[in-house]
Amino acid sequence: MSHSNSYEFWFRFRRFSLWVFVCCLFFLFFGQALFFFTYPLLTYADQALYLYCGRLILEGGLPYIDVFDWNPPLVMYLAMIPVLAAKVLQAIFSNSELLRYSFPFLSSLSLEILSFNLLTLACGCYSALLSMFLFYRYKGAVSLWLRMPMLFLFGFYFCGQNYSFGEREHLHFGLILPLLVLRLLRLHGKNISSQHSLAAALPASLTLLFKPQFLLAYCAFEVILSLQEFRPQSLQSQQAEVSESQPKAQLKSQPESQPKAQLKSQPESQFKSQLKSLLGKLALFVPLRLRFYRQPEIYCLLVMVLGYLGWFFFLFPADARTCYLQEILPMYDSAYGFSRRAFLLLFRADSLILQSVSISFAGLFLGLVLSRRSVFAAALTAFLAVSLVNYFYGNQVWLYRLVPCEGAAFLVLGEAFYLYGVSVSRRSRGRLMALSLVYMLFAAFFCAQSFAYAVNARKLDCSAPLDEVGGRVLGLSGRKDTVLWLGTGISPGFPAILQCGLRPGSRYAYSVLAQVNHAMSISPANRAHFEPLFRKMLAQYKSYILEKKPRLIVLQTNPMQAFLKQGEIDLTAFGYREAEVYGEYSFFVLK
Amino acid sequence: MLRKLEDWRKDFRYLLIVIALPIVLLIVNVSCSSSYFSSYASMRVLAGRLFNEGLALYSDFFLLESPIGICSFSFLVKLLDAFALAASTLNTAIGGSLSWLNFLFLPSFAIPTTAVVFAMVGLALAMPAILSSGSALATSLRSALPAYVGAYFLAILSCGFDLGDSQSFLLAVLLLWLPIRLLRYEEIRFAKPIAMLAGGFVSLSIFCDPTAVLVYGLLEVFLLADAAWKSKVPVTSVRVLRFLRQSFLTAEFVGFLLTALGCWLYLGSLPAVSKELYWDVVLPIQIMQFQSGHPAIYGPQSCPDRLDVIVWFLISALVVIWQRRFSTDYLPASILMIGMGGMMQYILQNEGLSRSLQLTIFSSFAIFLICGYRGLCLFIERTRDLNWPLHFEKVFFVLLVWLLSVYLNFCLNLDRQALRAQYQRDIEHGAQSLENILLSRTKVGDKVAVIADFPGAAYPLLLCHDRKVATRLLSFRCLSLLQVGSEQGTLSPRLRDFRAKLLLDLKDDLEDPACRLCLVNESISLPILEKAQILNNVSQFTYLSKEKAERVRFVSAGNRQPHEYFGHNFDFAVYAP
Repeated sequence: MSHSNSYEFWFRFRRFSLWVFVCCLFFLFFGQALFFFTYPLLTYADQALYLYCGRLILEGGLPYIDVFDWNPPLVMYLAMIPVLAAKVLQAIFSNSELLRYSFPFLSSLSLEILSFNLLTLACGCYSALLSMFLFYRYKGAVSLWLRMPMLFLFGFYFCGQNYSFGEREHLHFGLILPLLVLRLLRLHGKNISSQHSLAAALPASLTLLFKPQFLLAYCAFEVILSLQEFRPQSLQSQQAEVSESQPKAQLKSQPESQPKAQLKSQPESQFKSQLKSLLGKLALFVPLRLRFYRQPEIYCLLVMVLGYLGWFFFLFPADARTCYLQEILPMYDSAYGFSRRAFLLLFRADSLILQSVSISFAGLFLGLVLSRRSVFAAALTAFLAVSLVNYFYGNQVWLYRLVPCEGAAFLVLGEAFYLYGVSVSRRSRGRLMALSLVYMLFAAFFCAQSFAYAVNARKLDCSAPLDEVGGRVLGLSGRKDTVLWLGTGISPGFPAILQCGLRPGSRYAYSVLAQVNHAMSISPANRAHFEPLFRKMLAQYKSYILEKKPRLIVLQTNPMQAFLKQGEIDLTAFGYREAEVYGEYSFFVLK
Repeated sequence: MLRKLEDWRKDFRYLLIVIALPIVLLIVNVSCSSSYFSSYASMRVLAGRLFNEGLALYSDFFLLESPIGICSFSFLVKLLDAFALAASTLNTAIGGSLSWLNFLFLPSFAIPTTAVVFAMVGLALAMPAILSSGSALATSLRSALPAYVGAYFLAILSCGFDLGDSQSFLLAVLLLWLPIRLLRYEEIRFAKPIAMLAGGFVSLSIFCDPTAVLVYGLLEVFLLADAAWKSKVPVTSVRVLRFLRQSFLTAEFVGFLLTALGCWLYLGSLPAVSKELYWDVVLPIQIMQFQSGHPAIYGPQSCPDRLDVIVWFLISALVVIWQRRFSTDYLPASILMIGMGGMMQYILQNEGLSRSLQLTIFSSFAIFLICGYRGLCLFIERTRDLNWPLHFEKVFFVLLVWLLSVYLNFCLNLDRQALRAQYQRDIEHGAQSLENILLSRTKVGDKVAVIADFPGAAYPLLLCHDRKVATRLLSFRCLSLLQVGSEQGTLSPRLRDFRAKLLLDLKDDLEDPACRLCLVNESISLPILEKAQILNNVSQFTYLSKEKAERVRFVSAGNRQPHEYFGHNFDFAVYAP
């Protein structure tokens, strides 16, 4: 075969392999979608609460007033989208005999959870496709092809989440990838259209507003990208770039105009000249830096931050804002100490935590090794490191908080594959094709594995949507009954209430009495400060029980029983009987 | 087109690397199963032991197996029992600390696919003959050998290591037979002892499972058609005769005939009652299975899992047709014939069991691997000026086989997890495990009657815990088939008599005071016993009484093979003294 034919072959092969990767990615997401269709009621603690908040807001309720939560309001309002989507889906189902006949199981359920999960999945899919598009459009097919392992790892990690699926960290990691890719392309001096910048930056900016910590990690990413520009070789290259655009005579006249002998003999003038050269460099650097930051995505981010703050302080309902700023926020720091854990547990509270922490540290190490060779790896490492610091600083053993770190570790691994691909591509095309075949094989393997798992999910029954408490809640209550969950966490009581289509019995989807009690125990000043609030909450519970008469009350015996005693709430005296006890939970049914 | 390989030793090392991981996974998986036996293997081990004790086949114990199969298995049992006994004695002598010795020896029962070893030895012996020839077929076989053997291991991995049945034996024999048959077809000379050995195995496999004739027959028809197609001459009687002369006046045919003669003589040496029962009862009942509408006959489409096997096989057939457009190599097409034969067996056997599809699965894997490997070699050859890494095609192929085996292992473990979840749910809903009942109510050496359509599924536990089978009837499926025949009035007088005798024997066995426990499958076997009024008798026995309709699961924490779990089929009623 002649050389020209071989090259033609190579181009065809490249296109083919790109299609294979795209198909693998598609199957990865499709497999996960299939999994969610298998479990249309599968959700976890925080996700369930946000969905409930979204529904409540759509029904005219107010966050913080009608439902208690510690977090800023953005996620609650975003949760309206899946609720609306579910309503649309339900309308379609009710109007189509064929759909009802084809999916009788789905048509009888509330589709909020399913649409939430599918929309989250769609976010990941959008992110992966947009990143692919950006690489293809601005760096070409070869670059995209070399980056495919990273994108595939992203998809694999995004889809592989279970407890963290749909958490803010998960959404943030899922939607920030196009922004990171965009900034990398900017660093490479690519001229990116505003539409593409906005398509990448808008969703990412939204997720950056979920928590201030996310902004911190992103700033670390940006700082490392900027520092890369300070490195001597990059400055030289920038000077060279600039010099190309300026008349050569002007540039040459500046350093060479001063005689060297004079500089050596006069130390003061030497200092001045050094200062001058530094200022000269800065004068070159600042416009470059400004150009790097004067971009639509940064403007979008700033506008979103300002818009969010403006909306919160001027448009957000005043009652809810006052409640959040005056009641919830002051309590946050002291009360959240209730769920703080020992430092060692942050490393290995359970096997999942240990696995995530290990992957994060391995990614950190790999990123440090690679940071000398790749600026993107260095920036990702900074992102990972700050996210890891956030996790340890937060001091809570919650798996979802490790998602940005672990996800960044996967991206660093993807960058390692990219660097290896680049080094192979320098040798021969044949080697690159061989590498691509191996990548395709592994992609197909992981894709098939996750697909097999999704298909077998129902048979395995490993992620049954209702846990033991949920099953009992369903058994002891009727459709649309009111259920009061008196437990220290959202799970296991609240997700079950949402899954079974029941209504929570109070403003508190889960009880924060334990947290407030913890805040009171820290110091006498705190006690004096929080005791009225504690009493108020108990009184609210009492009135809820007496007035609304929830059909079922699920009580976490320790410590809630003691609190109820303090509030003189005797469930048996209020007309309830203990129907069942499971572990530390008692189920009281209205007589 | 294909690159020449330097010498066959390198090939052999490559072959070993290809199958190394699948073999390890196979051993680990067999070892992970706590009862060590598959259901069919356990029934044969039981039958083999009874045969070795000198009991008369079919009259003293009855199962729907050919006498040659039972005899050859009894020989293996005799051989391996000695090892197992030695291991057990050694283990006891040193205080039971080496329980892994049992662990090592017991799985060997599950491998009459010890035949695999024979096949491997045969292939290794045949290698020099294959490699020394310079023909196109030899080149094709040489390059396809790793794919061919790799596909075999992938097939048995995907079938859940059910190695104890006639189908896996047939597959192992075919593994050896196909290259030899093709070499003979090309008139390439090779060592006569190997040919005779292969012919002997072919004969043995047909005696063990007569439907194997279909597979061999289909292969021969294909070769005849191929010869006609190549010579562009219509198939005439002269041509057929020439083909037959070329094919059958050979060393392997001599081996085939000699073994067949040996088998025939052996059948002749059986006690008259056994012979009479085999011809008059066992064979007619086996044929009844092909047409029965009994609920125990699940039909070829009983399980949707089988559908993907059929779809993949059809895709592989398309690949073969596509490949024939470019190449005159008929190896993939002849492997396709094996798969097709397996599919016909599957439909005829009418059981809907995955074990019956082993040949088809092997065929699909082999076609995909061989065609894929050749496609890759061709691709690399055509783009050689792009400087591919040296031996990339081999590295890629090893990776592919390893990843496939890991994937199949993953799927098998998913099935096991599902089984475990199902078992857990059953236990939570009040079912008991058969293992617990056996351990709590019987002692070592006690007799236990397990009356179910697939009692073989419970036999591994009896073997592991040293309990004996109380009934002379080992395979209750024949009782179900006879019952259906009796209801439809289609039974011959001989079979009617035999059914009556079976029921009487069953009654006697259950009346034996040595029978300490009786488990009756409620959904299929219990109605039959009720109709035959055996159950009333059982409940009237003074020493056996129905405790309560307990739901007993035969699996122990989900380590049995998935296809053995038929849900409703394993609800047992417990009768105990």
